[in-house]
Amino acid sequence: MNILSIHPVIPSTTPYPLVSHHVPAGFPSPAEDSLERSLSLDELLIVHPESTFFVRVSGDSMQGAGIFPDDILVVDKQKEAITGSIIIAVVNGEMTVKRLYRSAHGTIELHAENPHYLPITFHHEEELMIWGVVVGVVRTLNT
Amino acid sequence: MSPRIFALVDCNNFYVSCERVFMPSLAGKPVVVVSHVGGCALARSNEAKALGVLMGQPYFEWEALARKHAIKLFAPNFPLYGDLSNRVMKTLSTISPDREVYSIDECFLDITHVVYSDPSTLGQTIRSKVMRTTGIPVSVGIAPTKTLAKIAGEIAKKSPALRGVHTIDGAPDALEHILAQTPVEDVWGIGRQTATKLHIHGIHTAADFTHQDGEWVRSTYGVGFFHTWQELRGIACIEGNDLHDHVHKKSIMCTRTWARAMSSLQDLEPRIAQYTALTAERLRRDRLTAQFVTVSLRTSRFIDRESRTTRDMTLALPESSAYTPHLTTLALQILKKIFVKGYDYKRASVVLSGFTENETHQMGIAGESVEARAAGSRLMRAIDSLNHKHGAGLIQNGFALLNKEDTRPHAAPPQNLRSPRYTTDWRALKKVA
Repeated sequence: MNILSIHPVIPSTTPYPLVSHHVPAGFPSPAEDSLERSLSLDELLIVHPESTFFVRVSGDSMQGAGIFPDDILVVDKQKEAITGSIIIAVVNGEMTVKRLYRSAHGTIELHAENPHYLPITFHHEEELMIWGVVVGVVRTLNT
Repeated sequence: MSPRIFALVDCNNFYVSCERVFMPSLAGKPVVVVSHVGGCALARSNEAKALGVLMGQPYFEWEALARKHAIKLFAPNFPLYGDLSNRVMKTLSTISPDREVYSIDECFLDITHVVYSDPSTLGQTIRSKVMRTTGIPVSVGIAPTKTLAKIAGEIAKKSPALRGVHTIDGAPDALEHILAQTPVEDVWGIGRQTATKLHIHGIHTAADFTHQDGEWVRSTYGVGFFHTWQELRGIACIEGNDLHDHVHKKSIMCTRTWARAMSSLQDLEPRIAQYTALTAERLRRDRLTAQFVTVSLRTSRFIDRESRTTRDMTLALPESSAYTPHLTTLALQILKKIFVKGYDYKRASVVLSGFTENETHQMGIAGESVEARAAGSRLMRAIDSLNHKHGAGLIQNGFALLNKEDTRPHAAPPQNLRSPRYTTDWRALKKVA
């Protein structure tokens, strides 16, 4: 940085014009410094917008997990499915919601959460197509 | 200029792939998306291609094949395709910020400054990231120029052994070999008409084209083709033109080709009105106002010369606007001026241009009061909101309703042909059991 010249500061006697428009007086809000954004459901449920899709539940196979017919499921296609995850899987060409279990010896099972439904077993990872992981359940009431 | 590297990412059979995201049972099956019931093939799965269905081929020519092999047919679901396209493009921008969306299913990425071990690995990374995120399969062509990347992309698509990725590294012998196998009309930027002229000079392949003298190309065909010539020889010089770059969007167009030709003004007026309303909707969605309206009409290109005609005209509004009634009035004035009796028109388009961002302009026309303009804006917002909530076309331009036929642009074919709007309509969510 170059210092070009130094002057003492001399108080000016030049008159300054009054501000011509109205400046709102009134007390500033004590909350102003702590203001945060309002809560947003998108922020809560949609972590990866490009890979997040919604599907509608039909049937009662996952009642035990609190997933009921007509619920909307928030599904993230890029999320890693681990054992215990509730996922959307493709079984015989159909999309279905089930809980995933991976056993130590490589078999995979899809479990319903309803005693009336039997688990489905896959012996190789490749047989099962995972469409996405369920990251949220949305239910609107009184509509 | 230091060398650059581009990746051309191209979705495979895009419309079909979109349908397969929500109908996994279609995997491995012959599927065709047709323009409308009895219309032409817009997109074909590999299985349908193998059966012999050609791009653009009218249904009646392959109807027997369709029945025999149970080809699954769809009418276009553009809301779904547009939404999935946006997701693909957003995903690609995480690979490189230098992204140029070229069409609904193609994107150039400048990967010059992206860190990766080798192009092939990056190509596979791109493929798996897009597949995992959106379910859409893509092919990747990598090369020192966009024109070469396009050629690489075609090669990647055609040979399954390449696993969807192909790199042209610019090494002269390999490049010459590839260009010798590329017909000149398949080169990006060289159309059938120019190719015919080139054929006369004995130029049949891309290699032949690059063997010509650059100055000859420039002086005979113009600077555009000279750039193509340079790009084929490995020198990147074609600048970008991103489709998603709203700030620089130059025009908004609505074009429709009709199965049945229109020859009277009464047939054309409601359609032009509807197309204007659609473009105006997009204008408002992008928060722009337009100064110029262009209307064009065209007969079929495949009839004899005397029966062919193309007519178009552009007029300006006194003041930039996004107010559908004003834009429609002008569009219909233009239509009356360009319409000539005695022709069978097959295609029309409405183009809006001369944009200004809406922050500075209200919707109205000079001379209107501020209140009238504000009312116009409120009216448009209310209409857009209702159309969004209840389905496009709920509220239409009165003119458009004069014609007894359904003039909605994607006039609904029978429900069983159009798949639900899985990603844009709460009522159309995919059901899972």
